[in-house]
Amino acid sequence: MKKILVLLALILLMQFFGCSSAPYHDTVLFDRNLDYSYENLNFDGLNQNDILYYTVDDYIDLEIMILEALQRDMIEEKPLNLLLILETLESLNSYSNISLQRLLKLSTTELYNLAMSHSVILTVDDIVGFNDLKATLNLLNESISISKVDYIEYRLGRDLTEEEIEGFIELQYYYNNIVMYNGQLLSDMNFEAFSSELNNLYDSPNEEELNRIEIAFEILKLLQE
Amino acid sequence: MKISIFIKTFFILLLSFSFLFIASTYYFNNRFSQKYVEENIRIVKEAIINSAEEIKNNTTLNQTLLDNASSETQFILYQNNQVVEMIGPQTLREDQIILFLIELYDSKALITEGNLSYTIALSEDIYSVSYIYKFGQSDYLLVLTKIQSLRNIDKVMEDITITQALFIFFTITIISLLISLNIANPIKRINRYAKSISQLDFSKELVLKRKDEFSDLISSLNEMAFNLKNTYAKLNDANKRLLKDIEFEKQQEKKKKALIMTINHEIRTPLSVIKGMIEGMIDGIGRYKHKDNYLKEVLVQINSIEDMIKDLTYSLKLEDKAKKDDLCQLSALNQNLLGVIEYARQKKVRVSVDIEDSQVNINEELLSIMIINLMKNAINYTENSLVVLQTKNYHDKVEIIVKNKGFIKESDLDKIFEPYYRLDFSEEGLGVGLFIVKQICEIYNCDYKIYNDNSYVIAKVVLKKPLLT
Repeated sequence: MKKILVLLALILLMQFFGCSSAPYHDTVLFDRNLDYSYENLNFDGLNQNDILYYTVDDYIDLEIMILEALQRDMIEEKPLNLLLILETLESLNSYSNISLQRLLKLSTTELYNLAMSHSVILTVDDIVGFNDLKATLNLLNESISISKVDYIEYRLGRDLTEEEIEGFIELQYYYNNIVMYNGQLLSDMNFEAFSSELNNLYDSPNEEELNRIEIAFEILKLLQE
Repeated sequence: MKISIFIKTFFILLLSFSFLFIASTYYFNNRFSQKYVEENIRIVKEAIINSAEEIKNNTTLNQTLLDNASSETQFILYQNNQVVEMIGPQTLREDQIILFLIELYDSKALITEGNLSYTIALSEDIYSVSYIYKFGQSDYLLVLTKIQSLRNIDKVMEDITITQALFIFFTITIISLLISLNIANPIKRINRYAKSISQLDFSKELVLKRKDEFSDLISSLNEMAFNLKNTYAKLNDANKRLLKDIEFEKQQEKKKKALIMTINHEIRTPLSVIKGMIEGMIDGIGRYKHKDNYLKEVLVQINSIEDMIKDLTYSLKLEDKAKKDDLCQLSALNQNLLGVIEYARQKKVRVSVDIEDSQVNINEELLSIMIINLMKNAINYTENSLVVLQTKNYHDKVEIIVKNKGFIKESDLDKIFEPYYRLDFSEEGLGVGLFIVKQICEIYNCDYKIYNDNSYVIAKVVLKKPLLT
């Protein structure tokens, strides 16, 4: 009898552990900052439920991080030919499927050989830019975090309006609820599908909110492209 | 094992100089090529940095400092992916620029100083120094310096160094030798000098023509030797005086003992006689019944004791009476000799006196005592009842001669001036008369002697005359 009781207790204990490791849906807030990862070379670490989760881009994020570092005086000047080398690296990535992280770990000779193997002609600007970029990254070791609004503004190349910011806050709020109850991913939906999901919610947005959410939704889709 | 300071100094200097020379030569030879390259890099770097502003302002390269910076250096101005201007040797072609940059950036020895990055590589005896100066987007100055390795120069330098080393080693040896001698010689001389001082030899003087610390040391040593010499001389004098005093004390002690013995011996006899006479007179025994007759004899014995005591007193007090600057006239003797002449008369001896007056260096009383003692001696021992006293006057001295007929044995002549020595014990006296003469002569440092001369005994005293001023 005693053995049976001990066995039951163990089973219950295992049950508790099992429950504690079950998926847990965080409530994601739009006003939380984005942190840049020097290891992954992007603003990662985002929750899968974050509306920006599918918008991050290594090349663009690297550029944003450098511009932010420059603004914060963490570096004295922008690496020479930054856009040009990022473009070249992106094209090499598309040919070779080598990630930006790995590309930036190559020596100049290796980069040159890789480019030659894919018939990409490197210029003097490319080589100077590549080495300047690597030197700049070596200088940076302090973490950089920016607000989601700033991130979107960098991406768009313009400031967001109050209405757009409201829209993003509301979009994140309702998306949290959709994920919690239906498990639908934002990347898989267009706005029609998304608004129908909104209608299924117990707490659905009013028309005014819906308009703002649509604007934010469209910007988000634009960033994903 | 004792090693001399010269050997030590010489070898220390030789080894130090040699080590210094070898180390500096080795360092210089090994650093020559490297230094040459470093100096070239420094000049080129300075030229690039100083010309950067002008190049930005579209000044052509050959109008900047770069034109004269280094004859081995090529400067390429590269803008918007094309060569704009090129000066210097044409080592690097346009189509090689990409590879040039790849090698530059992949070099592990890449040095970045602001906008300038450069690296050094050695390949096939040629140093390649590659630079890139970034003015801005798509605007660079590419620089390449090719320097021939200086290995051949190093070999030539090695040959020169061997010849030079022999010469320098010879020079070092000579210099070490000179410095060692310069240090060791004064020390050796000072050592010899110190040894002679330690042996109380103050006759030497140390003379060294130096104007350094040795000069001070030698001065101090000479001063020390001088002070030591003076102190030693004073000590020596004091010792001599002490010895003399001790000797004098011994003599005095001897005198005292002799006096006591003499008193014991000489005075006891007359005292016994007097005692016997008086006892006889008291008891009225034998011939002493006639007191009046024998009281005169007692008086004679008492006078005899008194004379003895007088002589002894003189003997003890002579030095107290004498002074160095005593003076007297010889003519004063005439008066003082009356007593002794009377004594001679009682002895039935004639006295011939021939005194020439003169001033002499002696106390008058002591002179009289001396002459009287000589006279008494002559009177007591003369064999023909005649005693002669005469003086002989010289420029600086006066000889006083007392002469009597007689002869003294050679063995007695040696002892005649000793105290209490008597030739004939039948004669009255203590034997201190001639001893008193001797003492007076020694006080005034006068010559004196008694000798035999043709059956005569001559007593001669030479008195000094005072110096004429």
